[in-house]
Amino acid sequence: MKKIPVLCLLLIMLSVFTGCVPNLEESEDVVFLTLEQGAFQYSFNYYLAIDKEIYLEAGKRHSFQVFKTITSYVDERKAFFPQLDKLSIVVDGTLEVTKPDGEMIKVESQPFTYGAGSISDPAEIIARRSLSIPKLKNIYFGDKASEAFESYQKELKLYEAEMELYNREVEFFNKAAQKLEEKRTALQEEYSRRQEQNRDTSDLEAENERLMLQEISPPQKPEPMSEHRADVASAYEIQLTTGVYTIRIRNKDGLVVEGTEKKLVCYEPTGETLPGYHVIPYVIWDNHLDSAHNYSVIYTNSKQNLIIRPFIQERLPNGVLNQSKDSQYINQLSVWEKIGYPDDLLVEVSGQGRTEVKPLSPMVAADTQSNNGFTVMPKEEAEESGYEVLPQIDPISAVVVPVKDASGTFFIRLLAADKTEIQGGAREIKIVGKMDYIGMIIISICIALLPLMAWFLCWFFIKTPGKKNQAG
Amino acid sequence: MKNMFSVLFQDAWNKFMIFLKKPVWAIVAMLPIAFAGWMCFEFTNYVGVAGIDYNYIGYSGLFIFLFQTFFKFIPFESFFGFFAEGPVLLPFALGCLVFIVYRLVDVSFSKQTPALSGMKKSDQLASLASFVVFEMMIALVFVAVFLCAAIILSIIANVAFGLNLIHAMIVLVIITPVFQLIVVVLKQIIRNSIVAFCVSFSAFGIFLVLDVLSYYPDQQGIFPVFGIIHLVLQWISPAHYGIAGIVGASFGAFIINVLFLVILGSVFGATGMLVAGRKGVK
Repeated sequence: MKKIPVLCLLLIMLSVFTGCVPNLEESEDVVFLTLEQGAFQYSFNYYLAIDKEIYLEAGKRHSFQVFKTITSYVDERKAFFPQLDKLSIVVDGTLEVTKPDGEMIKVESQPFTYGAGSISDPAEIIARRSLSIPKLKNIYFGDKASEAFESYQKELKLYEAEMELYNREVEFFNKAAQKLEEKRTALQEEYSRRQEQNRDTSDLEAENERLMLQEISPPQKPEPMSEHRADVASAYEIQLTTGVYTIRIRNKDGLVVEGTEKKLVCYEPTGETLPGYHVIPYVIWDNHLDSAHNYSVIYTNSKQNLIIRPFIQERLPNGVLNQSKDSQYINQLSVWEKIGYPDDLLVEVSGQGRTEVKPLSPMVAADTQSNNGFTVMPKEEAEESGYEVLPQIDPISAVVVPVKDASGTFFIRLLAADKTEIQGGAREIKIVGKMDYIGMIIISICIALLPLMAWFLCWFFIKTPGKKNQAG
Repeated sequence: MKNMFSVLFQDAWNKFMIFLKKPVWAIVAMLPIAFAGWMCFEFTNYVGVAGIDYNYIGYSGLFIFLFQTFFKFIPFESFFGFFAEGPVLLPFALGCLVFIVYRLVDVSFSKQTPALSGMKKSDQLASLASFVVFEMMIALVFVAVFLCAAIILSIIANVAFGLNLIHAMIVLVIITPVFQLIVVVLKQIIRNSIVAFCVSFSAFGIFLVLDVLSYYPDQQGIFPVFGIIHLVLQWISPAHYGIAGIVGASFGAFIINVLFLVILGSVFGATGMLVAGRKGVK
């Protein structure tokens, strides 16, 4: 009788420790690569054979590319990921979509390509730590895909020719500028020599003026291509209304491809929004730090002012992100997806005994100091101080919170244009200092003595209750 | 009725006064508080121009240990949730573990726990109720001392301790008697303190393992049952308010949370009395 609970426990422990260990080996898997037009427009979402459900936003056009490829466990992200750089075989055939009422839609695979531009929002660049990750712009199917790819190839050839010309012009410009510089240096030396000898320099001045007129301007760099398109491949186009569907793929021989039978959940956006903030250091923005929820306190060390950029998030229906391979890095608990940046709001900043309401003002990215970061500053300041503004990065709408050399706590609130508060936009900005190890140890020990002091007071003042009372 | 409650309370109060005069609770409370102090200043040392700079992990003894250890079990974002408001929540969550283990040991091996067999049903109820009140008082002392330390730390280091910490504290006060009731019931069934402790401690360990596993971001390779476990545990786990710092439990959810715990506690109590009553009849 006594052994039963122990045996039960052993069984539970055995099931826990054997059942929860993920299979970490590489394996061949079917991968759905979906390209969506919506909130996930920057993402490629992977769905593996192991995932039984696929979530897509209803009413939008989606493309499904289906591969057979190798997947392996990525320890850092604690999940399986397809290795698309390895051999990937496109699964061609017919996509069968069964509606909730039992009606079946058959979608044939067709030629497909997508157009992608480069990311231009600074927050995306910081978050992804790269300028080279593409941002999805368009998807093309059928004849349009072939046309789009052909026109892209023509544009690419044209662009390459322009770039070649530009490179030659730059070479010519550099040589001409060098010659001009040499002439000027020689002229300057001759001018100094003649002045020392008190000789006439009028001809040199005339020559200098002539050289000034010869000032050549650098060649104009061709506009970068707005959209890069991938090679034409096969994909399935779907656009569904809200509901739960079942899908599977039949190959050309009419056989169902193993691992392609899934539940497809098309969801409506919840429309529930919440503001958040990018926390941007004034000197150089090289780290992705957000205060996404109203309990995310912002900490700073007061060495520089802070730039606060509000963004709007939308709550996705529960469970959607659990299955999205692109979003699992966020967390299953994070169901808020960034959807945009407001530029017509006000921010109330309180602290140091005063309150100020500031409108969001344009800030530009300037003076790249590293591959991953750049300085962000108000547009006027960049213009006045002669910083080189980076044209490939979009200006942002933000406010500067003057925490430099301040102490204590600042409070910020997000206000609409009519000064009504936007719920969820209040934050604390706490300014903290550093402490050395000896100080840390001394204060920690002193605080840890608190319970001992409390015990001593109890021991000293509390009378032990009599046995009569204890009996109750 | 009023008289019965006052008697119950008086009984629990008397036991509580005796408990307070022993220094063990203070020594147990010292550990997480010292850790909280250290953690708090480590945290502020890592605050850069815009928030805590996790890029520098690896240059500090405590942080490198904590991050490297915890990241093996909990995803970075979940761990980050502990620090969303401030650095006090993590030491409190770890302090909860120390405290609950201490109470498990104390209740398992103490002769003061209610011996239910052979009692009338009304006496069993009174004994258990007195025991629950006594355990709640002890949890309150732990919470009060920790809260004082957190307030002092938040003033010295200018850090927030936030709503999630307060939620976690209230949940701890309610959940501790539930665990202790398990021990009391087990002691009645098994009639062996060591086995009762081992079983309850293992149950607690499994509870923690399941709790952490249910917060994994993806259920790939993990039984889907963890999704269900997560749904249950989020209502009864004090760690939920730490790990799920990113969720920001609403007030309504919190009320349901408390109600759920009260119902759970009542079920445990009723089961305990039923089992003990039957054994007593035998």
